[in-house]
This record gives sequence, structure tokens and C-alpha cells, in this order.
Amino acid sequence: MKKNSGFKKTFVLLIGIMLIFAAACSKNGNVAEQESKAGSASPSPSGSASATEEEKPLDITWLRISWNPVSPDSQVEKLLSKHTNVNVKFEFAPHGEYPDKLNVRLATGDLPELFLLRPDSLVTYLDSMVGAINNGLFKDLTPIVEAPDFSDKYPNLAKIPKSLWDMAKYNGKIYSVPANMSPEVCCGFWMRGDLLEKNNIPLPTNTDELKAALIKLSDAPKRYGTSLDQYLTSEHLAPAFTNIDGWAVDKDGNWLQAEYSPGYRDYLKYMNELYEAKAIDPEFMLGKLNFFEQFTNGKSASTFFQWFTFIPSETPDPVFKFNAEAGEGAKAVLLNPIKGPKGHGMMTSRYDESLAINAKVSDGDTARILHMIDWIISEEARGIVKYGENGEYRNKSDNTQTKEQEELAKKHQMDLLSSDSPYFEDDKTRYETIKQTKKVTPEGDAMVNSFLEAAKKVIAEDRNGQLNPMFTYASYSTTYMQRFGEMTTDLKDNMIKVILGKSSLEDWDKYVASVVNSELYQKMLGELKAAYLANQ
Amino acid sequence: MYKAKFYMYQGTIGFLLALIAAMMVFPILYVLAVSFTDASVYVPGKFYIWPEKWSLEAYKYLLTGGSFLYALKASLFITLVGTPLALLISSTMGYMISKSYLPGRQMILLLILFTLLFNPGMIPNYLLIFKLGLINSWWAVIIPGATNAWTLLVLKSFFQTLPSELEESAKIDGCNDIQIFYKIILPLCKAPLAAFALFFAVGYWNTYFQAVIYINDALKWPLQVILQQMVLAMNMNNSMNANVVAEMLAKNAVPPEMLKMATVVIVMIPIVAVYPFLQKYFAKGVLIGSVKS
Repeated sequence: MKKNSGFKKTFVLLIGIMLIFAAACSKNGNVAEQESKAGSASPSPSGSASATEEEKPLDITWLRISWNPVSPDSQVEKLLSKHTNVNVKFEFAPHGEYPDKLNVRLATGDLPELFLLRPDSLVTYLDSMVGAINNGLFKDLTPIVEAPDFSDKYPNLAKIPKSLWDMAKYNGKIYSVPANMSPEVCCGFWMRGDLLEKNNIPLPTNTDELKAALIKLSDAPKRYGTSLDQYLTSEHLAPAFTNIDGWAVDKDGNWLQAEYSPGYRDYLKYMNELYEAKAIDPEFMLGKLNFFEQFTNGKSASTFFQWFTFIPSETPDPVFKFNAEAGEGAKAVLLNPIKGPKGHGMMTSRYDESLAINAKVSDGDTARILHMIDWIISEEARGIVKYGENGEYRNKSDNTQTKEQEELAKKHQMDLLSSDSPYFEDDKTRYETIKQTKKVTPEGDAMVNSFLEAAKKVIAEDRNGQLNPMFTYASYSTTYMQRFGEMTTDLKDNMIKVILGKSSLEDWDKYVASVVNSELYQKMLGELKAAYLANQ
Repeated sequence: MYKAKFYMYQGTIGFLLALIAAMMVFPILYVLAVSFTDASVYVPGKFYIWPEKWSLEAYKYLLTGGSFLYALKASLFITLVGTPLALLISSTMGYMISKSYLPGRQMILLLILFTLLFNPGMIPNYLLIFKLGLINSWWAVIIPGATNAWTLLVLKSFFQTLPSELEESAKIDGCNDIQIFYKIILPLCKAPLAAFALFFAVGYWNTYFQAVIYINDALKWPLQVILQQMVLAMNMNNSMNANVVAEMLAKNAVPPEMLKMATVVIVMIPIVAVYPFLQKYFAKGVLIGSVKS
């Protein structure tokens, strides 16, 4: 009896485990269901034969980055369903693992209807994405975006400048919607206004005046004229010597990389002179503090950073502020783009992400998805995200927000609609928003307006209205995509050596020649030239 | 003279061992101290072995996060279901391949060894999970980790050390194969099973990457993923300075360093709680199967 009961127990246990297994396996449906769900836009099953395509809710899956833990009380899906008739099911991956997850989905073809692309800052489409495009996995959005009625149908998406839509092209076709964009002008040169006043130094307008000011404001080792870190973030000054923002291409299709252009040696010489005059921290390459912290801690008298960072304002909580270590009365002043021998020291922005649509989505459903995206970046949606539909997230009257309102907005996860978004704001619009919320002082207002006017002029005149062309054409050069890092392995080291005085300019010239004249580099330039000319 | 030398020798050894022990213990004390320190007295970069002022702010922030309970449920399910399942699969298969009379044994062993040497990589694994219909399910994390070549080979070696006479006498007494395995073999395997139970439990509890790749619904993610997100969400910049801490305090926010330490403690608790009960088996089990008699 005892033997039998033991055997029965074992048998029942095994059967139980098998049942759990079978139940779990059937939970996600069979393979056919999985395959049909993956990568195919599925309008909700037609209930009534008389309901039109437009009226039926569209069910889509959207793969994106999860920047914060997902809230179980998120209201975003309900909001989208109510306002756009699209039922969105979000699929997430944490920021660090998103590239791996997306690459796996691209390689296996198991793509949702809408997904975020997040390449590095140098190109719009990585190798894996180019492969997916060539395999027909991405929807070609060109017929929609370049249609004459695009701005009528999608008024908010139409606000994205052509220069940024061009960056979303591959082989002349648009395969994604730019997202997470900054205004075209990225950064400005900030200096310690209080120190300039104290030392009777007028605002520098060119590289010579800037050098003199930086050297005069240096008080090594307490403070250095300018901040530099191991990533050489002061490279925003380099275009003043090269007139190249990263890369440039002439009308004949000849490409030139800023670091390997003739003017760059003059920039390195300039930085070396600052270093020798103790205007740069000799331990900058050790990475103790980043360039921004050096400025806010009072360790340097200047830095390059976003132009809206230190705008003087009356609110107690400006965008960023100085630490106590910077001393009392520390204030920042934004210089107009510094004029150099060949151009102005200024870098333009681009975007880091874009939204792509699965090629299996029908044209009609693609239009509906774009309508949804267009609504997300509309004033109406942005108002709901900021204030709530009934003022539950922020008070409209005085723009204040209580702790409870803040918690509720987090609970409802409204940030899902504002992050990774194709919302584009030009510099003026961005500044108007800051002016309203931060109560900018008249002095600050004049400073920013002057900078933005000057910056626009630089883009129009110095750069012929073009942003960095590499973002548009890099995908065409497999050598660039796959071997650029290998070709430029020693670039930063050589730059640092020249700045530190450990290498001469002649050594730098030899290094540049060794790279530029190499077969691989020439092959890359040839591919880029061919790509550029093919798309003119 | 000899005694003096002996005591000196013992003293030196003791001192060195105490030093090494302190090196091992201080980081844990630091983690605990920072996690229980009040944010108002916390100074970034300062070394703590005891909180200056006790506080549970960091734990409150982590434990009251909306998705924390979902993540805890996910981790508990994966660990509590996965560990016994893994033990069942590994022990039964290990027992099976320990039998020299099993038809096709050599081929099975070769296949197992093959997986030890070669890994197909992420994409074929994803395709397999996809074809099995396990995407977005906790089973996508449990089943692939339910056994592995190393575990099977170690258990096989252990089972082979057990005398065959035990099984023969059980057969004579009327036991079938399942009863022999359950009543005779398994009770003798407490040591290796406890060791592998700990390995599997720790592995399942620490699941991160597989969960991210195979599970799309963020509310089904296990604890490791959610805790990492919570810490990153609060991490305003890499190097904390007093001004940033002050800003965070003004917003009643918890400094990221404290959150990280609290995360480490929360994740550590289950393993630390279980380990003392398995320790006596663990020491024995680690070497099991490594020597074949």
C-alpha cells in the first residue's frame, strides 16, 4: 500500500508539472498566431460588416525604450485610443539593452508595427538597420512625406525641417520619422560673466580675444580658463579654424573630415597655446570631472554647453546653476559664435532617434499610425501631457504643480508621450517656452536673442544652410560603418599629445597623412562620394 | 623558543587572515551603512561602516514603486518554479545518462558535450523561443535555464559513484525505476542537489538579460530589471557633488548612491536567507562528481 501511494504521489506530481507546462505554453498562442501577430499590422477584427476601415480601432505594438519603471496605472494607452482610435500595446526594453533587443528583432524579422531606432550619434541607420531596410522590413515613408498634401494631413510632422527629414533617408528614401530632436543650434560658449566684469574684459568676439580672456581669467590650479575633459568637448571651437562641423562635402562630392582638414592643426596649436599658458587643467585627460562640472564647480571660467543652460532668470530654480564652490555672485554669459580664421566656433544639432514602421503594415494603417504620431506632438496632446485633461497634472492658471499632481502624472506615465517624440521645436519656440516657465531677465533675454540671431546667420552663411552631411550619407559607405573606428583609433591620442606639447605639429601632419593616404580611408571617401553624387 | 616562534607564526597568520576578512566584510558594511543612512547626512564619496543617522527612505522609495510588487511576483515565480523544475530535469537526465546500458548513451553524451563547447548565440535562441511560442512569458526565462551541460555531467559523475547494489536490492524488493530514483537515489543526492539548487536559484533570481530580450511586457519583468531602472531613473549625473545632493533633497529625492546600495541589499536578501540552510550541503556538493572512483 505504502509503495503504491508513493508511486501515485510521484505520478500525480509529474502530471501536474506537465499540465502547468502545457498551460503556460498555450498562454501565448501557437506559433502561427505568434507569426501572424509579429510584424503584421492587424486592424481589429471586423465586427460589423458595415463599419468602415477608419472607424475600426487599429491595434498596433510599439517597441520603445523604458526610461523609467513602467507604471501599472499608465493612462497613455487609453489616451491614445480615445484620441486617435489606435490601440497601442507597448513593448519595452531598458535603455542599455535596447540596441540588443532591437537587433535581435531586426535579425529575426519579428518586428512590431512601430519601433524606435536608436543608432549612435554619428549615423541615422546602423549596419543592422541598413540590412533590415535592404531586406524590405522598413516601410518606405517617402510617398507620404513628400506628397504635396503632407502638411495638410500631418501639420505637426510637417514642422520638422527638411534638413532633418533628409537625415532619415537611405538610398534617397525616407524610412523613419526623426525623433528626439534638438533645435538646429546646439551649444554656445558660456563664460563667467562676473569674472569678466571683475577683470574688465569685454566679451570676446574672436579667437584671439577669447584666448587673451581665457589666459587672463586663469588662476591655476584653483581655476582654469576653459574646461576640457578626456572627450575633448571643447571641439565646438574647432569649426572656427576649419569651417567644418564634423564633415563637409563640396559640390563635386569630395568629402573632408574636420579633424583631418588643414585648419585643424591651427586649432590644435591654439589649444596647445592655451595649455602652455595654464588656461587648461593639465590633468584634463584623467576625467576627474566632466567639462560641465568643471564650470559649475568654478574650476573653469568657460565651457561649451547647450545655449539654454544658464540663462539668467528670476525663478529660484533655473535650468542649471553654479555650486557654492564657484563663489557667490557667479553668473554666466553666453557669447555669440566666436569668429576664427576660417569660420565660427559652433556645432549644430541632429537627432538621436527615429520611429520606423514595419513594412508589413498596409498603406492605410501606416497613415493612421502617422496620424497618431502627429497627434502625439500636437498642441492638444502636449497640453494634456502637461496639464491633464482636467487640470489634474498641473494648474493651468499659474503653471504650478503640487506634489500630488506630480505623483499622479508619474503614475499615469505621461512621460511616455513626451520622450522619444518627433516633436520639433526650433530655437525660437524652445526659447519662448523657457521664457514663460523660467521668467528670464531682460539681460538674459537680450543675450539669448543675440546668440540665436548670430547662430542662424552662421548656419546660413558659413555652412550654406547644411547640417552635418555625414548623418545623411554615412549609411551608404560600408567602410565607414564598419571600419571608421579602426581607421581613427589613434585620433584622440594624437590630438591630446599635440595639446600637451608631447607631439609637434609636424608629427600631427605625418599622422594625418598616414590616415588620409591609406587605402582604407580613400576607399571610404570613394564610397561616400559615390553615394553623394547618386543622390543629387 | 619553539613555542614563541609558533605563537608568532600563528599570530601573523591570524593577523593576515583578519585583514583579508576585513577587506571582505567592509564593502558589505559600506553597502548596508549607505543604504540605511539618512539622505540629509549622506556625503557622496565618504566611507561609512555605520549609518550616522538611520533612515529607510531608500527602501521606501524602492519598495513602494508601483511596479515593484509586479517585479517581485515575477522574480518569485521564476525562482520558485524554475529551481525545482531545473532540479527535476537535471537530476532525472543526469541519472538517465549515468546508466551505461542506456541505448544511444554515447550519442546523447556527445550532444550534451557539444552544447558545452558551442553556443548558437542570441538570434537562434530567440528564434527557438519564438517558434515555441514562449515570447513574453516567464517560461522563456525558466526553460532555457532549466539545465545545462555542466550540471548534467557533474550529476552523471555523482550518480555513477553510487553503488549499483543499492538499485539491485531495491529492484529485488519490488521497486520500479521511478521508485528507485525517488526513494533510493534522490535521498542520497542531497549534497549535490542542494548545491545545484543554490546555483539555479541564484541564476533565476538574478535573471536580467534574458528577461529583457524575451519579455516585452514591462510589468512582467523580474526584480533585477526594475531595480536597475529605478536606480538609473534617479541617476542625474555620474559624479555626485554636494550641490546635486542638495537639489535632490529639496525635491525629496533619494540620492542614487543610496538607491544603488539599497538595491544591492534587497537583491541579496533571499540568497543570504537561503544560503545558511544549504551551506552544509554546499561545501560537500561543490566537489561532488569531480572525482570518479
